[in-house]
Amino acid sequence: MKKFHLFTLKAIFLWLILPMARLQAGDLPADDSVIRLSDALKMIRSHFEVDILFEDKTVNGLTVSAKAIDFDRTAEENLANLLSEFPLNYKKVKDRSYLIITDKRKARTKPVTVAALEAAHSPVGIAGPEPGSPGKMPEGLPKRPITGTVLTADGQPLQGASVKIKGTNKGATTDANGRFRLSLDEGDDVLLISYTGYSSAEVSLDARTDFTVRLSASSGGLNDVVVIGYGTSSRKNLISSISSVKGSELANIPVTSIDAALQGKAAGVQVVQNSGSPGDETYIRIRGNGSLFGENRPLYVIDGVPMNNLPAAQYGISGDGQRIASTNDINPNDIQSIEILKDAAAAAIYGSRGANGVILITTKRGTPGKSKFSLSAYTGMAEVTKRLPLLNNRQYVDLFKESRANAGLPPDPAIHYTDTNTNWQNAIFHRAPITDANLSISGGNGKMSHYISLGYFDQRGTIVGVQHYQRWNGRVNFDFMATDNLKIGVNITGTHSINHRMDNSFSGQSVLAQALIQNPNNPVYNANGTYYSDPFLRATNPVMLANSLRFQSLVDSYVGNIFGEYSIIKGLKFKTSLGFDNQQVTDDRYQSKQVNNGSAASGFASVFSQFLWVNENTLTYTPTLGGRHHLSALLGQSAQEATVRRIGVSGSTNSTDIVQSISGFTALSAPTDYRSQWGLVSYFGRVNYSYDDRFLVEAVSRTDGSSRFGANKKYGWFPSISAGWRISNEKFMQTQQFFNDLKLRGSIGLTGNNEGLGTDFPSLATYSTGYNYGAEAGIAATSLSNQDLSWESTTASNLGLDMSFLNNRINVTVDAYQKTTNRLIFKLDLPYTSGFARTNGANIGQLINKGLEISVNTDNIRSKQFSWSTNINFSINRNKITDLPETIDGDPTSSDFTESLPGSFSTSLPTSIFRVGQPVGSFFGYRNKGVDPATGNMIYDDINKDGKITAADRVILGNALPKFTGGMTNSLTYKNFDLNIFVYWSYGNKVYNQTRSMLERMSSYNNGDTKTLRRWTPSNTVTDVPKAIFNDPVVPNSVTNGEVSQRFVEDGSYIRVKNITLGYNIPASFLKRVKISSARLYASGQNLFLITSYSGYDPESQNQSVKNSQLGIDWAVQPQPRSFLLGLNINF
Amino acid sequence: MNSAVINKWIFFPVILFLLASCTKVLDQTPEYTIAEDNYWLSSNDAEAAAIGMYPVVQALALQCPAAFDAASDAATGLLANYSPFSQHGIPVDNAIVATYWQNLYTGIGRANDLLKHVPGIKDSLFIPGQKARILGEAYFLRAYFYFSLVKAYGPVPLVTQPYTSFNADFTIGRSSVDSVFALIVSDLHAAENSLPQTYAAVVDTRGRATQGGAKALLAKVFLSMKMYDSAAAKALEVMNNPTYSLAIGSAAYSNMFSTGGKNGAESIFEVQYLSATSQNNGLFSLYVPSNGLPAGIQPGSYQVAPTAKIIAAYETGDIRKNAALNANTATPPVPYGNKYLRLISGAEPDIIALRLADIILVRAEALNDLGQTGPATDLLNLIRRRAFGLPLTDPSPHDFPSANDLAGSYDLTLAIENERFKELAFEGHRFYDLVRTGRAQAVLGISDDQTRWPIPLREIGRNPRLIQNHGY
Repeated sequence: MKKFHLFTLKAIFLWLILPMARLQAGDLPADDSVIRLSDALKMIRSHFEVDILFEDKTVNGLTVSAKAIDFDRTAEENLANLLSEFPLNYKKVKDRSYLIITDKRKARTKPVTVAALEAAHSPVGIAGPEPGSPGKMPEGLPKRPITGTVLTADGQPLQGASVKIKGTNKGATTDANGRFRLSLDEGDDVLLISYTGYSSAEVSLDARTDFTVRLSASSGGLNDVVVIGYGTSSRKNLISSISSVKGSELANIPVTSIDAALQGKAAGVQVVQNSGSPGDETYIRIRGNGSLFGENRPLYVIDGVPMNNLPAAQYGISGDGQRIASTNDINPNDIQSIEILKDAAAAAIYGSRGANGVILITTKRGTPGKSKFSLSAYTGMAEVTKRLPLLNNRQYVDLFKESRANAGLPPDPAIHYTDTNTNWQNAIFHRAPITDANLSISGGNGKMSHYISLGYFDQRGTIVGVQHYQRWNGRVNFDFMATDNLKIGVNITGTHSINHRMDNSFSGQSVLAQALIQNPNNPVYNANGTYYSDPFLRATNPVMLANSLRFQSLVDSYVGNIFGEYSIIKGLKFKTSLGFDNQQVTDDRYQSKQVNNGSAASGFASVFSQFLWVNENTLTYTPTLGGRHHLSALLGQSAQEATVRRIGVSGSTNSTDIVQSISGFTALSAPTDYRSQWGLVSYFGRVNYSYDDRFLVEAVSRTDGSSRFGANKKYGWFPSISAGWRISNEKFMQTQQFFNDLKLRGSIGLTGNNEGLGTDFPSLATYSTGYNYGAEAGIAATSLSNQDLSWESTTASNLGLDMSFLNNRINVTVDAYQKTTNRLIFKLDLPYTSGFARTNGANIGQLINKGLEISVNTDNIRSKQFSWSTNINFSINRNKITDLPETIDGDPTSSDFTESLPGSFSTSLPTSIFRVGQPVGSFFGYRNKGVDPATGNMIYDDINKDGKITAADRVILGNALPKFTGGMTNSLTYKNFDLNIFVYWSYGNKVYNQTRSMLERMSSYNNGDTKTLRRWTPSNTVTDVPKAIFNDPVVPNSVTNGEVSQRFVEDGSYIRVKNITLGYNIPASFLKRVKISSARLYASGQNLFLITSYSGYDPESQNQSVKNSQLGIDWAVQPQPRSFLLGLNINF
Repeated sequence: MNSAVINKWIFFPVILFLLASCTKVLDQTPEYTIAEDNYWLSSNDAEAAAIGMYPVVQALALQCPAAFDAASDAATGLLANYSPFSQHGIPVDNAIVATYWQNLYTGIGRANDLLKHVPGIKDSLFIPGQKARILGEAYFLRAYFYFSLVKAYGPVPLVTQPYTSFNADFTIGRSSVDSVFALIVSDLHAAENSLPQTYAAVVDTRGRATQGGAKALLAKVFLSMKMYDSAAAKALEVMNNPTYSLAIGSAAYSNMFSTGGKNGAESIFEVQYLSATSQNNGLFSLYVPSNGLPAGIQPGSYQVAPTAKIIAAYETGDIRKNAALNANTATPPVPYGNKYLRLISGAEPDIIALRLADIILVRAEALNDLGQTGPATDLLNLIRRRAFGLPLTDPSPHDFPSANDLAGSYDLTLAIENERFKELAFEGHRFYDLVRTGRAQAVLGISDDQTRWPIPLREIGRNPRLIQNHGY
């Protein structure tokens, strides 16, 4: 024991330990016990040698926590503290003599016991009668045994919930079925039921002997355990910015990835579902876009294992905007909670990977007790209901003929009136089933506990054909107390998924784009039932494409760890963990001759695998100091290594569609074999100290060494410091009753971003193979070295305020932050005379995100039959690029970086720009000034007044980032019914409607939307739609009528009723007969209503989450469907 | 308690061990590419680096011949890509201009890298002469790249050392044409002294740098420098080299440009291409129309069309006309350049960068400029007789002076110029031939400024010491 003096300053140690030693020798019971107030007063009396006078009836039945007594403080301070929770006060009658009196002012509010305050939560969904007012308390219930069940709002039994009889030390803990048993004494009148993460409940005891109590999940509860990096904390002591989302809020939502389920659940987290394609990657940003070319997604850590942050498709099939996201591999039903680390104080412990925020995923674990079986399933239908207004068969022919005539071209005899009028949108959209089923078994005994689950998820695409996502999940979490001091455990999850994908892009094989541009005079099928094929190959039959193009990704993923936790001495723990994340993605694509419009069939196959191992060792020291001092310290070390491999080959064949294996192909391209690896070594520590629960400070330090970076910058240091002041614990706050909790906190720190550099060796000068000449193999230099290349460094500061008031009915958290990303990795263009086009990346440039987040949880109504709570969050983020390297001194636009999307369908390609002073996500193009009534052509603004419209006349047209976003969840329960309504909104985001630019182009064989009916004609000269010209521009090198301009920039603001769920808990009395402890039926609707002025399918459709240079562009992306589900949760 | 005390102390050595052993994960070596430290160690590295320069030569196809043909009076650029060259109004941000510059300096960078590192490689596996040959290839290609630069841009930055670090100073000014030529000449002298006459394989003898190639290029460089003595002398050395001989007869002549007749005896430096999917030049797409083609010919997008002038230039019976020109089956037929046909099977033609007929005409021109009109006329007639399938040594009706000469002129200088026009049509020489002889203004009607491409705008932005060409 003495040796551990080294771990703390000796002086502090003595200061902390000595009072404790005195207490142990003295007269106080163990810290965590509850004692009678009268006894507490007697202790004060004897310790401080003062007189305290009180009437027994005044203090009768009142209890306090033994912790409330603190002999380091004065007698008066102790009295104030002890009495603060009761309608009592003390009066100093003379020196060293006090009288306990009833305080009328405090008596106005309901007396609460210390125990109740500790629980600090509203009673919600109480099955028994409302607790009576003090005067009406039923007195003297006879001695008898009672039993009861504690359930969650959706009917899941809660194991390990604490059930206490108010005012006594008696209590019980619920078993695996949520059952408890207690013996009542006379005078016991109220049950206090609490469970971490749930609102506590008080139940008045009446003549019943069996009680059922439902607890609703709370967020922001003061005593909630919050998972932090390498540890846990309680919400009330948290001084960093962390949002928590319960697993129950993520399950039973018809989306593939947990990212999508997080939408609107936490302030400061912007989530956009890029498309309605099953398995598509979700756009997620925590506190804005912190990088231009690097990764912007957060680090995901699942049960302590940092997941591979590399989307597999980065090295696989291009995916046409769809990447394989590793967050798809996690079963939302296995999740206990998700914590989102937002500020530097929370994320600095993850050092060079923390700058984009960290998402900590904690999965469920077993608790001792009888095995609990839990079955949950839903099934439903999804459908795209919106249709874009397109021209019909005759209008199409008219438009086309006019465009030919306007271009001075002869009519095309192939385009003429027919009786066919195909609605191609109806031909490709259909109603698609979605099913999810999960079974879990959890439980344990004194030494072991387990959580085992199986899950199956099946979602068909809302476009006809092959589109289909299926996922099988399994998980085993196992804990074993090997000795009294040593706990070992295993977490492992395995996932197998098959995604039959569809091109979801502006490529020629986009089913939706082909359906939109298709001539309505074409039929879907020929008379003989085969697919109709346009003999001139002006468009590909989208129904054929949807059914015939094979584009499959098969993902196998295993993530887990083995850990051991050893208590060296009380308060000092050593934990070691060996974790791994292994993902294998097999992609294959096959385009038959039919898909390739008669050219040879082509195919591609690739196998991608990534493996990551991580070893982490931590020492945590939490001395029991007693008194007002709380200290915890963490020291840790971590090493990890990740390897990536991809082997791929493509080719073509004229042989047969039966064999789609590349080995049967006639012409093969050179196979690729990509290999890479990187390592990270880290040392980290954290010290957290609080004084008197009023002053809280925490310091974090992490040192990361990464193989990725230049020899001069291998190691980086990421410190943070935070401090908090719980104002509500101040003496001057003791007399007020409004605030239950009031905490001010602030933090500043440094985090880094080391992802997304394109290669794992960005700092090295490298030579690459493949520079062959004839049959001979050549090698050439491909990059210059940059020994100074290092992570992007983000300095983040945060100021937050946590408030609970009106008897904890309202919890408000406000955070203001600024994140400055320095050493931004930018692709610096080099003069070609260097022999290279650009560097791999150089640390130059700066951008700033600043914002404000507000979340409010309210318990609007708490009554025994009806409860209503609301959770609202608002996020405002402002992003600005503040520095980029100028290539011409003094010319800020010389640092502009523009990038256009790839595309086709004879449109001008949407262009984004990074410009100093502007946010990420800015659209760049011409400013149009309407249609010239004389010529019918678009007039563009000649910005530089040189008399010509050239690329130099382009300006910023708008921005894809929202001004603010938010979500609101209303949870209502009435008797056995529960209703949950979730609304999400985004305001101020612009969308570049490239789909509409395609449909209003009027220069090819593409169909148009009905807006083209008001196109310019000699008789309709005042309009906003230009004239139709085939092959526009007729004059080479001149601007077209379809240039990228603000004409296609639309307001993408929206309010979406994301989800409404109505549940019914089948009464326990009925279930008992079938040996089921609880059952809940529910019906749910996803994406029920959308309020937006956006003219396209879905304002959320922005396909490219990969690149910050391509945000907010709707390019014929499959919209999110509306889904209706029926579901069932059963526990037995 | 004792055992527990021991147990807890076991952890500290374990932790120390873990701390000490984990830093090795920071030492990662790329497997997919080669780190600089692991390169330039063996003869293999040197050989691979030599090969690694040629893809740059391959990559020049879309700029030369295509853009230079479009700028000449032999072809017209039809679509947006090449019409600025035909109209002699090239924007400073033209992509082809930038790509040409980029490709050439990429090649120069690789040559510089090789020239810096290969001399120091100590490897017993070098066979005698191998190292010198590899260095010779780098000298030859560096000269080839700089000559291409001078022809397009005039004075250019002279980079002779490889850049090694991102932190280097990349700004560099333009050097005079004379100093660029001085480097070219010295590189080519070094090349002709270290390169072999032939390689073991024919494809290398034609496709890689050789002594003959260095001499041929030197002859053309000397001609540009108006050093006619040296030009004539070097050209003669090439002509005396038994490796090279003229293709005789209509079939053999046309065959030079076909995918089936690659690396014929007339080729001195022929840029090798393999197929549509691997190492292709893509020129078919520029020269060939989209329909009405003979069977087996891949249709193109027809961006560089022959002028009426080149079509009319050939006399009846000139076997070169069918080699250079064809027309499709449309009404009216669309004429097209016939030298770069890709087959539907994927077979890709080569590009002949240097061939004997060119060098013979170089010597003819040099001798003429030296006043030796007799020998010059003999060489011109050699090419003419071959063009009509006649015996090379017998006088013929097509010999100079002939009534059929351009505009009835009996000017030998013009006759040689016109012969080059016909002989080397669509091979990228015409525009610069007119520029170096000062005839561009008269023939193409362009100003002196228009004889040079603009320095790419991007380069001026990133290298402030570059000064734009006059007129842009």
